[in-house]
Amino acid sequence: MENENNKEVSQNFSFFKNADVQEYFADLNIELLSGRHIQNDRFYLYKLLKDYFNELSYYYEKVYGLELIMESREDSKYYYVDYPDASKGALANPSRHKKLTQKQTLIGIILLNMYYERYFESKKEVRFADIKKEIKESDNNILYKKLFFNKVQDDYLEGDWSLKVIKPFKSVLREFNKLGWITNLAVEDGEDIHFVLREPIIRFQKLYEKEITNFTEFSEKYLSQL
Amino acid sequence: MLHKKIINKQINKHFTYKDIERCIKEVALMESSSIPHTDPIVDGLLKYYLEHPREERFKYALTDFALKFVKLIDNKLYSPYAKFPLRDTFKKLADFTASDIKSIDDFNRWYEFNFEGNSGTVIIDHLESLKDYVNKAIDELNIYINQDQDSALKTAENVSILFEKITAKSDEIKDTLLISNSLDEEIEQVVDYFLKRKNSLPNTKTPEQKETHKIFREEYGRAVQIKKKVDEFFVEVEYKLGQLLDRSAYASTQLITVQDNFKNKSAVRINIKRFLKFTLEQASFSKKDGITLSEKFPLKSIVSERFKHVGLVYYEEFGIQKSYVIEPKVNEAHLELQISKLDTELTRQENTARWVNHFKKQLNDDGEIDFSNHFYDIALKENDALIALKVGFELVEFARHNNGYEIKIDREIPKSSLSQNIALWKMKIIKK
Repeated sequence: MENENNKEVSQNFSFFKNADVQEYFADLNIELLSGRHIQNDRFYLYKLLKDYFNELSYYYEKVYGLELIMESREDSKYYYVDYPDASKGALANPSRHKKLTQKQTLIGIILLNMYYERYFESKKEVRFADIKKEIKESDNNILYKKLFFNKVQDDYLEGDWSLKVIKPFKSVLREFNKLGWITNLAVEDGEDIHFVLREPIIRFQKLYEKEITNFTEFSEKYLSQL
Repeated sequence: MLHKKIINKQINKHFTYKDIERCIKEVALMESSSIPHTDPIVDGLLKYYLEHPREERFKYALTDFALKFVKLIDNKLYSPYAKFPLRDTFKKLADFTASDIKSIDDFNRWYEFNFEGNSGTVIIDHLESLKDYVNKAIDELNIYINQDQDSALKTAENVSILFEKITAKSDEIKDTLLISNSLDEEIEQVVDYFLKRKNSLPNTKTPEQKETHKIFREEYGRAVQIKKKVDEFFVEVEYKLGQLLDRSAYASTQLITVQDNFKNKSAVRINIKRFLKFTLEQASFSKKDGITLSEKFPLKSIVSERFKHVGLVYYEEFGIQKSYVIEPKVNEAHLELQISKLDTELTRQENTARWVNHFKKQLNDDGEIDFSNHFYDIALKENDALIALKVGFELVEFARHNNGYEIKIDREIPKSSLSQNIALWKMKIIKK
């Protein structure tokens, strides 16, 4: 029963009577309102979203003033809820939405870039060694080194890597894992970081869509403010 | 480099310090980098890769480990077995028939020759070279998305050639997997042959037969082991091939979608790179907070309703709790019984008091009373012997505590008392 494109759906809450909705809706609701992006690995929740897309869209719009969004990227779909353009809906209270922190924003941009660097890899895996390589050897290595270590040199002590790179990355990855942007994988042999970048990381790109599309305009305006 | 020079006979098998120095210089020139000092390099190499030959202590030679290492690198770089035609190598395997195997040694030799030697190495090398093709294709494609349209077109052409190679090679590997099916049947027959042989001996065995049975059992065990290893080999090849094909299929699908709107995708990609660089330029390191961005940098919001499930005891109201008075349920029968008991007791006390007053008056008027005469009279009139007893008791108490009266008790039971339930001595109270 795929009705994502079916406009002829009764706009009421009668779908709550259905057994599958009653069984999985509570979980789905908590996940979506917690900010999670849902892909087909959350099979039952994904199926509910697929089967009742219009009904659930109506529900989130009426009850929370939120939009239920389905994005289709890289041959896979994901769902999440977002505010309509000008409002924050029923979640206008600051305790009910959150701004990404500066750290999350910075690491989010780095991860988005890594996603595109692995664009043709089916499993976009990242390990600490990749992050280290990015910091030490990429085109932006000087900027990275200044940012993470406050000094530019060939390599740094293991303790510095651990404190200044692994620690902030890990805390951000934990949050992104909850959002469904990445999936933390099992770590092997004393490895500190191992995860796979998921399609919903594109949501980060969408958050900064205006700035990315009109980059020149954004950068000039930003610099003139300083 | 040293190994190559030895093979080309440019230097001897036992070479000198000068030879090493020359090699280092040549390598540095090839990489157009500065020439490093020879001493620390020789010291480092002496740990595993170089040794002093016994007969020429001042010269150097490559260790066995170094030769193995060179071979490993050589194999990795040039994949010599990948050039062996895979189909032909495995065709020989397909010709294998169970009837060729007469003993476990034949089977063992067949396994070692084909799987631990030639064919096994060939197929693994083909897989490795397929992996290299896939990696190369994906790497080139990842560069492709960062290019302008003209050079991207060139990359796309190169990648499509690579995809053709990937398809050809994977087809070859798939063919060998098909061979594994026919091979499987033959191997099954071989194992079956050893099983039948093991079971051919009678249940009750002579000592010689027992010995033979032991050998047959071991041979059957070895045959099963070989079958298992061959199965595992093909499962492994199939799994690795599957992984590589998945990766290459994903990459080619991505390529098709990117090609459709390359201009747009490429512009977005380039802007994301610029955005990253710009953000890194605007970010700074702070001793307190680590990596930070300027206050002016736009931060974005996402929906985040935190859910917390806490199990609490339910209270109707907070603060001082109400105290509830529970109305007791009245037991009517018990109440009536108690009231009637109380009535009887009260009447008894009233009547007792009346009789006591009457006798006190009589005592005062007449000077003496013979209570034994009155006792039965009271009991009869009141229909309650207890009242008569209580009256008697109170009169005795009265007289005992009052010096104006005397109690005279004659310890003889009068005749009139004998017919009663209660017998009484003769008791007189006299006013002095």
